[in-house]
Amino acid sequence: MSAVRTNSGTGAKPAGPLPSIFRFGSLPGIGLLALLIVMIVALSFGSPYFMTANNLINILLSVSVIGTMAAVSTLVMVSRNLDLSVASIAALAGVVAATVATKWGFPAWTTILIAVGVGAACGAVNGIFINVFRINSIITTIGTLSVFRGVAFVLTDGSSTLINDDTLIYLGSGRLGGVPVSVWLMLAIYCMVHFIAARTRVGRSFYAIGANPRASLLSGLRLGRYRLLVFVASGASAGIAGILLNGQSGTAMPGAAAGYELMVVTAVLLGGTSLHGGEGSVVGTLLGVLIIGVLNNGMTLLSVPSFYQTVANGLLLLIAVGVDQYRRGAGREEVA
Amino acid sequence: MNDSGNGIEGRATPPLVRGIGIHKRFGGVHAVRGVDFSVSAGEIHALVGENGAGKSTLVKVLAGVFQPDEGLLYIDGVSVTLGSARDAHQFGIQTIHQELELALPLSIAENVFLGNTPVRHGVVDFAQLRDRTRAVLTQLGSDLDPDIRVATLRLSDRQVVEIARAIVRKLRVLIMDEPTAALPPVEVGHLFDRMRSLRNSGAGIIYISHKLEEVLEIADRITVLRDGAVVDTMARDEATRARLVREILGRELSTYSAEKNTQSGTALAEIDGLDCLPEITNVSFFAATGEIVGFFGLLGSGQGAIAEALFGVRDATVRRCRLGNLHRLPTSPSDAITHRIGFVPADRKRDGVILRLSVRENIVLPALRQFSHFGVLDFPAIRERVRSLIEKYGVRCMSAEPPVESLSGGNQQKVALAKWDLLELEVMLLEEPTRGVDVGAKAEIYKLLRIGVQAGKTCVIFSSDAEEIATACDRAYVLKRGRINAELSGAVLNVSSLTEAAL
Repeated sequence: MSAVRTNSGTGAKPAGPLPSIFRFGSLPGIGLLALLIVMIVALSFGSPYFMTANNLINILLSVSVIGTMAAVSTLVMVSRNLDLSVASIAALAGVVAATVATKWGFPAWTTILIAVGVGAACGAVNGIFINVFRINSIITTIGTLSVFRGVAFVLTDGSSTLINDDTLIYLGSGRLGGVPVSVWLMLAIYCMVHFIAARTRVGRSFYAIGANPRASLLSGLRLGRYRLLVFVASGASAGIAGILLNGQSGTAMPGAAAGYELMVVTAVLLGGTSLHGGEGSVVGTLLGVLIIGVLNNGMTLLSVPSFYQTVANGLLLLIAVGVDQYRRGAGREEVA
Repeated sequence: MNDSGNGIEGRATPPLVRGIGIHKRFGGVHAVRGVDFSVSAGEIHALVGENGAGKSTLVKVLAGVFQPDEGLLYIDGVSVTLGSARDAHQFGIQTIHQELELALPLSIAENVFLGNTPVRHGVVDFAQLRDRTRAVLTQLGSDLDPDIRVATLRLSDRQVVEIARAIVRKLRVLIMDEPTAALPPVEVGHLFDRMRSLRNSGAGIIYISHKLEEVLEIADRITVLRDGAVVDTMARDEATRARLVREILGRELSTYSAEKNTQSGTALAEIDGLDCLPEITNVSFFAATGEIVGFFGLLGSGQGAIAEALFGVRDATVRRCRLGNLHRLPTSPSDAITHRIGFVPADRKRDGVILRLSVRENIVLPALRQFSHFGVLDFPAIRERVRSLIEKYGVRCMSAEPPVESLSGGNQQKVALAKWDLLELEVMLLEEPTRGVDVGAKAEIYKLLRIGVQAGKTCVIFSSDAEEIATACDRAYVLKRGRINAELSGAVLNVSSLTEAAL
């Protein structure tokens, strides 16, 4: 009996070998790591300031907000969903936290709990809406992207709120052992999410559901529950991101983090997570986040005008999606 | 071989399409072996035979989809080579597929002229579109309104729309592969009327069906295929149901000596009056410990619907019901599994296993909870259990880590079975459990099922493979038109009586 090799769920054949930097198959992230190192080496020649400790820490600090959201977004996309509302949730949670802390005088830890709670509640809204109305998650979260952002503006009447709580400022701007607290927090979240993805029942179920939702359903997994769970987790992580945002800028702005959702998606896709679900790793996402950070930092150091930086970030997203598609067979029109 | 199929040779007009000595092989499988087949203008020629007799392969050769390895094709008496389905379309050879290819939100007229919509001054000429559609429908004896959306039509009318589209594109020979498989009985007559109109307007029709009554009703000529070769070709007047059944089955029935269970224990599943519309009406049955019960029906008889209803995948109603310790139908697969019901679906690659995940992850998926301590999985324990299951089920793989897609079909199916072993189930539902599985693995799978029921389970197999039901089951129900037509056990449970009761 000979082993028959068949195609994976999408039915398309892999379209031949890729340039090796884009191969994530057997050794996830090796190609990415190489790309990151090449970028770092190149930039260290391009700018004398790049390789300084201060600059490297700045890079980490600059990605801590999107990095925090991207960790859980990996699980969202592994389970074949997409959450485009994370940046809006971060802004909403941020302004709510600032209001309760500054205007009502809540203590810092209560404030943090409230921010996480607001984020989780927003995530629950996403999850319930998708489950009840069976609308795909992209459309749903495009809707809530606008709704949550709008609510943030309504609650604050469009104005910013100064943060005067020392603990909240410390979380965003303080340092611990020379490294920003935000970065420690982000790394802690990566460790936690990686553990969940790799070692827990819930995590492995996300992979199964993403790889084949119907077979997972027939194996007894309750798809609706898992979907709700992953969106609540995504919302909660956006709530934490909101706290970091507040602490880093010292103010809570309803318009903060606008457009970050696309950076998050870019990072996750760059990290080798598939838009089609079922595969991806949190470690890969962290590398994707770092690549975005290094790219933007590098462009700034090399005095690339900011308009071009916007173009570059868009191209990065297209490349990430393109590579993902290419890996599962490009040039094939989908015929339903 | 009967010569009457070639009797047309003497006539003045050659057949519309004719194949002589057609051979087609797929790897080691010799699907069509030297078949002569033709269809003439104004004729409905039915093609009958068991699953895998080569009917679909033969018509695909005539339709240009496959190229014959040997043999000649003639159209209007002229030798041709059909390199593709497009070539066949040029000659007016069109196929109506089981899966209709219609744009449901569009009107009948738009569907009929899909791809060659009449245009005037750059805009769609709706008046012409409507009139020409109406003319074609009239030719088919149909009075459908061309402006109606296809989505609102019943299935037989949708087929009429497909036929109309074929006419517009040029239709001389229409190939229909099981067009009534999904049709409710009341609509079959309606479709047949349209087919007769088409025939009377001079087209030839090749009609494939398992349903012998329908074949005898509609066909002018009938050809029986068995194991890729023509057994007999006869005019309608010479055909009887008994003759067709005999010729379809033909060969000596294989004599398996599988160990069977004659005395049944306590009933684990008792279903009374299951309705699962539109396929299934009023089905009642029971299955006891130690027993393998079969549900046999031809393709499209809806046996799969029963399995899905009992597993909570689709909606159904039931008068009374007991499944394991559940006194209602399960509401979801997870509800079913909680109440010790398992299901091996028919489409293994799509539903049974997760191809991209490893053997280990597939096997452990329904039972993850057992291995989790406060949500964290105990991987050493999982590896241990999976290893013993791979051994028990004889899954041939290098290790438990490669993705299931790297295994052969039979081994994939063993994984689909093994994953239920961890959950001490009482009722095991299996749909087409050995479809596309080689003979050796088939025997192993039957043995595993037997071991399972001897441990106090019950198995219900839903299959369109009569040999499978006869071999593996102790008792079987035969479905016909969505109802139970017979219950067979003991010596009468054999391929011919199953087929007889289902046709």
